[in-house]
Amino acid sequence: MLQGSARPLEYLVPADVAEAAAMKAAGALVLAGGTDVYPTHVGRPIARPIVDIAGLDALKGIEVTHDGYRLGALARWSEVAAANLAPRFDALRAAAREVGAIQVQNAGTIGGNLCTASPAADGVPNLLTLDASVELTSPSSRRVLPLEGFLTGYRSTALGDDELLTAVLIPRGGDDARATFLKLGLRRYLVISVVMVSAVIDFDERGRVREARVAVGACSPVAQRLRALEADLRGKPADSLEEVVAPAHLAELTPIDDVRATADYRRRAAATLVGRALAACGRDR
Amino acid sequence: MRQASYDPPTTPLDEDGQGAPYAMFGYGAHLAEVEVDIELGTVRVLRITAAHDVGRAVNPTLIEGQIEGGVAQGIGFALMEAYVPGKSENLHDYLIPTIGDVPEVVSILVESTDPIGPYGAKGIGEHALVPTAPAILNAIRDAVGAPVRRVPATPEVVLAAVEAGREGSD
Repeated sequence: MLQGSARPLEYLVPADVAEAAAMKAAGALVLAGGTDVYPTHVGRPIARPIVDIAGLDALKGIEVTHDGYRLGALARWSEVAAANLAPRFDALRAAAREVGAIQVQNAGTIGGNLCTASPAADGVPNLLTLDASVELTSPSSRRVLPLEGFLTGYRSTALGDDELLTAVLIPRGGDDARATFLKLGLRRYLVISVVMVSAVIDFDERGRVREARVAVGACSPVAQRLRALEADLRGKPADSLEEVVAPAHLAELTPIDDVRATADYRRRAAATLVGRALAACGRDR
Repeated sequence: MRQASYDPPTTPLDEDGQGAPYAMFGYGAHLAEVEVDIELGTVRVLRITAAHDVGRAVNPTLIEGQIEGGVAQGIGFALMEAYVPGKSENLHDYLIPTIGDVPEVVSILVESTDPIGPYGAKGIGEHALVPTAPAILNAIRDAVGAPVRRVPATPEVVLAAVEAGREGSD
């Protein structure tokens, strides 16, 4: 029985992306896998309509395109983990197996992970090291933003009120790069990261770094690429990458003290994990 | 109609705090094998061997289940469970062990004769978890050379012990 002021929840099922975007523009809450929507509403009734986009086929699937790879916003973590992708996606696929538990991986979507924009989102550092962009679609337009431009701060994004994140785009090239993801949490599974590191390293035929991309998550409001380190890694031999890491390379991280760890610990652990991730990529070559 | 009751024999404590507050005592010992990552301070429990005096083992499988459950709770106590009022008041922030955190548990049932318990059985509900955390903390001390005096022994706490152990050996 509904009491006094309680109103029935309006549950909207759009026919296509444009309609979904229009519903969102009119104030509806977007629901995809629900793994972030649900925990943020425990004990707090949802006061606005819900637009359930989970049935939109245009947002599904992982495909190879002319420009690279297109991961539909509704691609679930378990799909990413199982996808037949090039070695440079190994870190992303490892992260897909570390997000929550298997039940969460079966429901949670890559688009949702990015729109929630948690500093500890396991997908983000790995998509940063893949140079990912996001496709944003409104009822009347479509634009593509680099992921770094999309994530603007703690749980904040550049997504417009009338826009949906419809796909994650990964450019072509460097498919044979080695990729490692390391996640540190306070228990083995089902845990929010204290620090995480993603490294994607492309080696030339002599075993020297052609291009390196390294990102650290949970140590700043938005996961960050370590561009100074990436520059210093260029040309270095595969077996000595760990030695390149210096404290200055991590200077831009701004970790905080919280219930899980102190800022000092995070900074130290980040340096250790960056070194290990690089060494793993080098060994793997 | 008949009624019956049974109250295990105990005596109140005297002015010196002496007496028999419980009718029986179970004894137990745990041996913990752990691996410490000395750069990160993370701890992986590799195996717990748990010997318990259970009186008569009326249902050994049930007892092993109790011991395994107690060990799991003890691992949580040792390594991750931290109640912070206002912060960890849910199972998202208040961590308890998952299947990935609990290793093989080798149970050793030590049968003894107890004149008081039913068919000679003793309890195994609580004391299965009492020795686990001290055993784990002592194993960490053995590995890093300095004691850990705080629970939970989070990576940060363990890393401090690693450093104290290094200074101690210099």
